Amino acid sequence: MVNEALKKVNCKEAARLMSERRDRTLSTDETESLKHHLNICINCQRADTQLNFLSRLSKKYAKDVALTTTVVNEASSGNENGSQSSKNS
Amino acid sequence: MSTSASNKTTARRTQLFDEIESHRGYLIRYATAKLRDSAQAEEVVQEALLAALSGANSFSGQSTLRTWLTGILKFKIVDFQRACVSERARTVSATAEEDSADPEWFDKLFDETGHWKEQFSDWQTPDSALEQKQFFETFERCMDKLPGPARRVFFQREVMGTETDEICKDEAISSSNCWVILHRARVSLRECIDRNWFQGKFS
Repeated sequence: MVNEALKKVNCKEAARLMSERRDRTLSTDETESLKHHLNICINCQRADTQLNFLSRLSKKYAKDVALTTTVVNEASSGNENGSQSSKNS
Repeated sequence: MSTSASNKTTARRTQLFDEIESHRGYLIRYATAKLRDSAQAEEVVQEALLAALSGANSFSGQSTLRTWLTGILKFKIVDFQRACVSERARTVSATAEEDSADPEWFDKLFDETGHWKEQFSDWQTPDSALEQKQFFETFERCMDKLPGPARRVFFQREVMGTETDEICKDEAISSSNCWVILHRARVSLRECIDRNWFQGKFS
């Protein structure tokens, strides 16, 4: 049975929902609209898969790079620049 | 106060200063992760260390020194972010534009009926990319191209896994604004990674 009330969304709106469902809970209508669009749009399916991958990539980056290795390369040079408070006589 | 007691105090202070300094590297990594900007991280850590040194007497020794320093650093980071926010609020036009209409680059992705203009390619073996150092470098370069707020918000949300509510508070923006920023950041990163990694692998 086709849900008459189902709001059809285009790619632009679907893309927004795809992103936002990672940050908030979508309403039932929003979920249905997105699901319907993803069923018929290969480009958005790919975009969605790639956004999932982006999340996995970010988590792996956090684990492997951001919080473990020395992120700041230039920072270690020029550490001591005599930041004693100036005591001019 | 006797001379020996004062010498002892001085020695203790020097030792504490050295110990505090030894945590600088860790603190810079922590701040860089939060701010996603090494120069800003340096600056904030410097401020935090100065604050720690001048308040060294208030270190009770009940928590570890690193925990105590990280606590000070957290306050400094929040201060710094607040300052950035009010700085941005002063440059009203830029902020207003970011809030309302979609930026031009974003609009250009869709045709007048709201469909993607471009056909996306299927990313081949994305998981093997996750094993390559160069791929993370591409990811970093793509993140660095994002405008400041988008870079911070994305980093906090996806890399650090912070809840949006907390990010909104730190950035002093509404939830819907936060979602919009994240949406554009993700779309932009997807495109950047596609162009600089997955496309390049076949052309």
